[in-house]
Amino acid sequence: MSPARADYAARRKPFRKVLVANRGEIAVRVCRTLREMGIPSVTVTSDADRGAPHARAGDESVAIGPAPAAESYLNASAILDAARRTGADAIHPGYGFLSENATFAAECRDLGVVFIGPAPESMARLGDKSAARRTAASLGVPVVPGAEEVASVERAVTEAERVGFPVMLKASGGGGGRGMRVVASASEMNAAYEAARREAASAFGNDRLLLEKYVHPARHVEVQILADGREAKALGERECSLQRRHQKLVEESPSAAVGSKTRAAMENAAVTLAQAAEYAGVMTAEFLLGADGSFYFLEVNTRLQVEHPVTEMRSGLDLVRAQILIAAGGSVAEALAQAGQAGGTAAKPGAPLSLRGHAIEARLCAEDAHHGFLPQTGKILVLAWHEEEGVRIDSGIAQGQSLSPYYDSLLAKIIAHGRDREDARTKLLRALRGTALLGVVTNQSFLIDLLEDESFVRAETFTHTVESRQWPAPAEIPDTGLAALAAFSSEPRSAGGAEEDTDRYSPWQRLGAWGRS
Amino acid sequence: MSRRLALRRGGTPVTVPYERKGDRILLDLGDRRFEAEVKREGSWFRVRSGESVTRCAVARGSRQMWVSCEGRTYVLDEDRPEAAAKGAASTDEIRAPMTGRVVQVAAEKGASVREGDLLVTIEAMKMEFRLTAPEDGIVSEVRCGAGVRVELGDLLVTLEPRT
Repeated sequence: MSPARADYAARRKPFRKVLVANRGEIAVRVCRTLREMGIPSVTVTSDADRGAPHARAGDESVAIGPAPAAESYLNASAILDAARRTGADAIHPGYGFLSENATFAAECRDLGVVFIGPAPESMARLGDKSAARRTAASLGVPVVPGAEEVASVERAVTEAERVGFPVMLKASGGGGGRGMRVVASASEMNAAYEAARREAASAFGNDRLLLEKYVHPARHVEVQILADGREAKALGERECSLQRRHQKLVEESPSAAVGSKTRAAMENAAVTLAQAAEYAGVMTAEFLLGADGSFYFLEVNTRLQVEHPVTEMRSGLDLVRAQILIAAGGSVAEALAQAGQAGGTAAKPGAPLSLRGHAIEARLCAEDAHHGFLPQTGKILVLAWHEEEGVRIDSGIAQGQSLSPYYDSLLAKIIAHGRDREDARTKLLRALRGTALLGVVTNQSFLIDLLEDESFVRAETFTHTVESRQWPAPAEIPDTGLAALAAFSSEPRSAGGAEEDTDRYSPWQRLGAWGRS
Repeated sequence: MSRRLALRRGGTPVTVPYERKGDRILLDLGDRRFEAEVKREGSWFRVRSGESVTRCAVARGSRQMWVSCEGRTYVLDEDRPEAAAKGAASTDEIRAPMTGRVVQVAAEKGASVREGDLLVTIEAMKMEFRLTAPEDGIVSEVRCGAGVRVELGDLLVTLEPRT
């Protein structure tokens, strides 16, 4: 028995204190599980996030640096220092930032702090896209034709001509759509190559690129894995075809396009990859599913996914709890048994996992869907969520908060669980229609259009669906909205709830004309 | 109609005369009228028109009005100069646009001013900023003096409409 396992067996709580090295909704969400487990939590904040909800989500919070992520949430030494000062014996990295950084995971280990994620060796083998492609190919998992490394524009053109245009350039070291470019012809390669490299360098601190044939049309389907270094278990798939800028907008499980045979083959491929890397923790293997039912391995995410609630809603599992239990040396069976309790469906060790109904998640982002999905900033004047059984909101925002331009535009995730796809879709639409977020332009209206669209109703969703279609223009203000505006405007000044706590003191309010003399 | 919404959406005027009696709102939409009972419930306004009931949220931002109905949000610019020209009776508060020092106070209590007249000059970041009257009116209050340090949002001058 390893020391960690002995530790796990001896104590009820796997860790003394956990530092959450992230921000926004995921930091809030991880703190929730830590609280449920009775483990004290520490959050970290940049100067821009002092008043953000995640700063108050844990038991204590440490300021780690200036607003730019490179100086705060990506600042490994500041985060490790915060862990040391607060006495945290484990770090949960969330997603993005340092979550897939093998060097950081190794630094944690050297300092005796448990990194809640896979060992750096597993991460290096699967987290790096080029290495993962090689591993997958060696295990007989189908990969998209391409090249693991293209060190120059010339090499990229040669490889692209070999597999045939269009091709996709990708950052070896990261995900989340950054450092990715579709290249239609050799003449576009130079600009695309340079742009992808710059993005990769700034987002992941690693500018290596790989090249793949662009499979089109395709669906994006991924398999959730829970593994303990020996055993790996597949927890079903998620379809995440609806994307913009290669970033997911809507995710669901199960995928309407995946039959039981394809599912079994994909799950088997994902389990094989996890076992080959002696992987411990949660992991996602991503695949492209072609129109003919063939699938290709894309990449592995060696961390918790943004869309993990989709799987949680169907399985009743708490994947963060499972991560923590496994990081403390627990087995898959133990993690499944204990992580299921919180969700209400107590799975007994060894019992087959049951996935019930259908779940769909929509990502609410501060961006203008009608103007190239440009990120938006501003102050949240009103925030009201829709509450309903089977609807979950994972939010990292609060009324009165100012949104800074430094980080990802994801504000919250709205997830609906229903007995079937249509039930989940209807519930999610109800939740979106019942949500009010004023003061910052968001994609809320666009998400409604997307979920109401015939293509989504018929589950004909592909990776190009969002960006290749003409979407409805912003609607006219309904009469009810004008009536509400009139009621608001004619309220006695003292009654104005929303006005009261927002702009009563704004100098812009009644400033009139002013300028430099 | 005794009141009006004077807003702009994407450059297009949204001008809606309306009346309010208690919770009843009557909108004059040109070719038709819309009548509803509107009640505030926290951040929401419950709008009942005939049998249908919907909820809308409204907020005033620094320069815009926001309204959300059925998950769709509409942003409208406040159309102040036009509202003033049409005689919407309101009080203007001239507030400090930044933390700084008052260099000069041109406004005198009781004086009649025209739109664009200089009221106060503030110095900040080694630059001078001239605060002028947003519309015609009477200076009803002067709350600052030359040389005084002011904070962002401090009330400096109050204007009242000429009667």
